Amino acid sequence: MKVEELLGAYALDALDEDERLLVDRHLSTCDSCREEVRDHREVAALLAPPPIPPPDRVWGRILAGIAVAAPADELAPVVPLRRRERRFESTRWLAGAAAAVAVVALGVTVVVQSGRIGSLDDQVTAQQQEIAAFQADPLRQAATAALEDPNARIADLTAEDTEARMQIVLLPDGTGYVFENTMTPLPDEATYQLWALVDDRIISAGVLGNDPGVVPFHLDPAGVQGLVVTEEVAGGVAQSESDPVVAWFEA
Amino acid sequence: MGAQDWSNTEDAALAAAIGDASQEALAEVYNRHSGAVHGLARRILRDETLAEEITQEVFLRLWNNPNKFDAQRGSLRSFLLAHTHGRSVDLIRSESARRTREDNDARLATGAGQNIEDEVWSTALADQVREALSALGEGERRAIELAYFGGHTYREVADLLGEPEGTVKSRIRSGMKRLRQSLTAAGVTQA
Repeated sequence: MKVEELLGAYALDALDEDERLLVDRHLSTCDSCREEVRDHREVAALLAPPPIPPPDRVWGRILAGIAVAAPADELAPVVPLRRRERRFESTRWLAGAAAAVAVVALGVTVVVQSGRIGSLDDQVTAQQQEIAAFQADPLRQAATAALEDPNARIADLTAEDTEARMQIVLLPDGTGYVFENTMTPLPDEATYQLWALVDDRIISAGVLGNDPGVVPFHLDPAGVQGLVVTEEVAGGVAQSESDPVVAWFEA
Repeated sequence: MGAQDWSNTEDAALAAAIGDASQEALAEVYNRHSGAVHGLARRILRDETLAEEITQEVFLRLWNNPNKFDAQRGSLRSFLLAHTHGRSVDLIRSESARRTREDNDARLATGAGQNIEDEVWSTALADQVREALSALGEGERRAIELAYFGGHTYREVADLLGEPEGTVKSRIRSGMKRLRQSLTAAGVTQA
């Protein structure tokens, strides 16, 4: 059999795994066959069915997935001029929310401290430290504010036979945060991924990165019966076949 | 980071901007192609939740690995749809999803059929595509339908149609080539 005969079926994902690998190998060295596959795929794209715009929540989850990899210091609202690393822009929507929370929290701090007996200098120093702390980790502040929300649902995900655990807070509007956790960091090519059990179905709630700190995600809290974290390849998967690392189920 | 209007930017330039971490460029690509991606995933998977998962995954992969798209190797749209198709087919071949799909198949049996000509209207080029399809032999068209929309391997297609595997395999290829010839003659694709 000639490999070329398989190219049409290959372009339509209609080969068994062994034949697909065979073609993959061949394509790495054959320009004309690569070209043929490209042509088939252009034609296939024209056969695609009518577009169906996805609901807004899909874009929300993509944004959450993008924000995951941003180190917390990139979220600081007062330092927009530093480095041009990937993913900075994407976190602006989060930084704005976090900054708003920080301002509210600082207002409270000022009131409490002004009632204290002490020198003005002490108060200023303390406030500066508070400000520095907020600016250093606004995401944590946003998550803390969520944790204190009386309407928040808080889930403690645990493991049966390890010490790993993870605390998750979920607000009625679907804003969620992975909070404290004791998960073992994974190699770069792996990630933790959060799943929700909703109406007896498992849906992905976000990719958490290989060493999750405070991580935002979006999940409609309606009907959530459980939360599970698995270990997956970096980037995450649409459907998991991995065992849970930690899990929580509604009593 | 100033507000840039991406709406007139070509796909290839958008893909390059995504490589430079422009979220606005990703948003524009999403605006243009998420409907096609989601529509294809839902057509193959017959399941809204899974289709949304695939849509999310396709655009996150573009963000995380923008270099996988090579403008020399075809359009961004066909790149995204090829990934959508591949991942959707992976899913339906996984055992857990198969059951749901079979249930849905049964439910949809009285609804929209598998007729590829009814499906195609996604672009302004729909008429030309429909015409190109009508130039195919019945065997070629059925084989392509079952593989592309049904997510079947050519061996499964051969089983379904009661035809030799080799016949189905070559019909898929010859059918795709013939489609391309017709579409090129109509000025839809380039020679």
